[in-house]
Amino acid sequence: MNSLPKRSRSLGRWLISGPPLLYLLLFFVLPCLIMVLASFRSPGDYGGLAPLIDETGKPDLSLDNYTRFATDFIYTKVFLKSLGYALTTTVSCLVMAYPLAMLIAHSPKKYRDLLLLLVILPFWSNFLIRVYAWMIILGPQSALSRGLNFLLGLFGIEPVTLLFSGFAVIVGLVYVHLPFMVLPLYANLEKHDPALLDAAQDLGANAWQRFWRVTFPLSLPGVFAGAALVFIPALGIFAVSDILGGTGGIMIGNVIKQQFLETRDWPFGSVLSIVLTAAALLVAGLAAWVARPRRESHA
Amino acid sequence: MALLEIRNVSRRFGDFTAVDNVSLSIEAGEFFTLLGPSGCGKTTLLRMIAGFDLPDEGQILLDGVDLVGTAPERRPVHTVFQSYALFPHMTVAGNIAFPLKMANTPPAEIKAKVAAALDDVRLGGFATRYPHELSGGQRQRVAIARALVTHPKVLLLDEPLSALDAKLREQMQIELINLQKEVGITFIYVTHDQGEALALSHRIAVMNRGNVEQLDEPDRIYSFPRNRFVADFIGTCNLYDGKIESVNTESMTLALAGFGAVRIAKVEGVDAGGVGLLALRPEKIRISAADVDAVGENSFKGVVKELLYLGDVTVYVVETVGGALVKTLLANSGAGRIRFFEVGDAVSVAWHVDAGHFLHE
Repeated sequence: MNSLPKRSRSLGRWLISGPPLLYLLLFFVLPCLIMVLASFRSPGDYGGLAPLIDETGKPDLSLDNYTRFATDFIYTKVFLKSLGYALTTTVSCLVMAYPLAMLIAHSPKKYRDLLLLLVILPFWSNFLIRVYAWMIILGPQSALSRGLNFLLGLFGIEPVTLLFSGFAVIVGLVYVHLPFMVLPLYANLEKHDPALLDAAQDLGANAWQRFWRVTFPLSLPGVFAGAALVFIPALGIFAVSDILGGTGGIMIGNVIKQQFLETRDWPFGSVLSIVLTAAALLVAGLAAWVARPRRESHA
Repeated sequence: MALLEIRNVSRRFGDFTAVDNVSLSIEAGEFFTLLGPSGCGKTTLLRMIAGFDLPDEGQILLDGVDLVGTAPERRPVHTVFQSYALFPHMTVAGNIAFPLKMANTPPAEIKAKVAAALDDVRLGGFATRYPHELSGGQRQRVAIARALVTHPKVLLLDEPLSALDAKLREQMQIELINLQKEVGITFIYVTHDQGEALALSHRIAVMNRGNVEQLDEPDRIYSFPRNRFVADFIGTCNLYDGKIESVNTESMTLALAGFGAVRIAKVEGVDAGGVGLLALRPEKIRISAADVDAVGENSFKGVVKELLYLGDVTVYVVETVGGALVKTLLANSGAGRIRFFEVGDAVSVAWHVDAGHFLHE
């Protein structure tokens, strides 16, 4: 590459990055702009948007939709609940994925690829089918539900229903997102220099101190990458809560879907989408800032 | 009683014996070096002292107490690793404070001790830097300060200078000698670099294939190697196999291929007819244009076959009339001259009867 003249190098760069750039402009940036514009307008009589200039010649632009979001607390409540679900999911995924990623990173090299394959194996079957499977597992007739209720009955506690609840939604979200936490954590842990743990032990650190003071802080970039990969999609998802949540486990994703497809209020759906995107960006930005590279060794 | 006692220690990995029945006593305050080629068992021995590996047989005693049941984190032994193994997410001060924190030292004391340790290794203004902001030599110093800050009984150094360039290495050698004198802690130093071992150590154990070939002071190791391996491994040495022709009261005569009769100082316990080895250091051989014929000298005529110009000195390989090759060394001290001889020059090589050293094998 270095021997090529400057102009043909930059031409090559544009040829390679041009098509994906164009794709993103057309199908991501432009729709986002349309959505922002729509959020200031009002819905048409049969869905869609009302004309931009009405009969009296006034432009159809206002902050009404935002005011509605800010004043009608039902949406904020759903929003906060979704944040809670996504946060619980992220923490649960982290707690479950960390030991798993460590196990894979510390296993003999020849088994690592196989173990990683097992982690991503669920992707080979359809997402919806996997979520429906949880409907059966958590359903009232399942061995799990009956066994649990039998045990509860021994202590005189009222039987519980697992399915169609916030609990079921979180179980589904954790299940769906777990691999996205395992992979970045593994990629990080696998690169750790084992000499650092030897050094820590040599200098007096016991197993817990070696983990807490060396392994964990060094894995933080992986933790934040995994957390962002789990938290952001979990916040906006609607399929899992649709199937497992019932009426109580509704998430902001379901509300947005409702606005666009059932209520046909595109402008308000746009407002909710923008708030969701902003929240996701905020979290991702925060994670990127906390995990910003500044302490990496070049040794 | 010695501070550290290694008693009949063996360590095997499958069929490979890394350390084979080694016994060593290391005194308090000593700068002790384990020297040998890679795979000689020196690092395995070091890891067993640190506790990362356990002997299959034998004991390692510190102050008379067997260390076998003591985990590495509880041994009063710290290691300076070859890669330094500094914690990349901690500052220099954080790295040095680490062992103090592990020992539950009060924070005020930690601060004072870290500052003192930084001064010891002349890194006063670097407390808040991160390891990646330091040069190789500075990282090396942080690693040493970190390992010394809690005053362990023994400091293990695993080829600590191998990643540094030659100039810096020499400078660090001097610093290490001074530091060890200052702190008075026993250093056990592992290296494959014989020059480093000679320069630093009070005593050296030369290791080969899991065995200690010779244990002695540096000058004794260099001047009186005990066998072929040591003579060959330490420095450069001319080695000639031969037979003892006659033994007199003060000297004896060897028959060597390519030379004929060579006189050397007598050693005890040898008889005419025995076989052995003449070890001869290049710097003990004089090379000259004129014939040498002095009493008490061995002198042979030859031709310069190869030369290796090293700047300060030139190594000449001289082929004797009989066909033996002699490596010899001459300082390029002639005023206004690059060196004294060229390839093809007719020369004499001569050495004193006492210059050669007889080895039984």
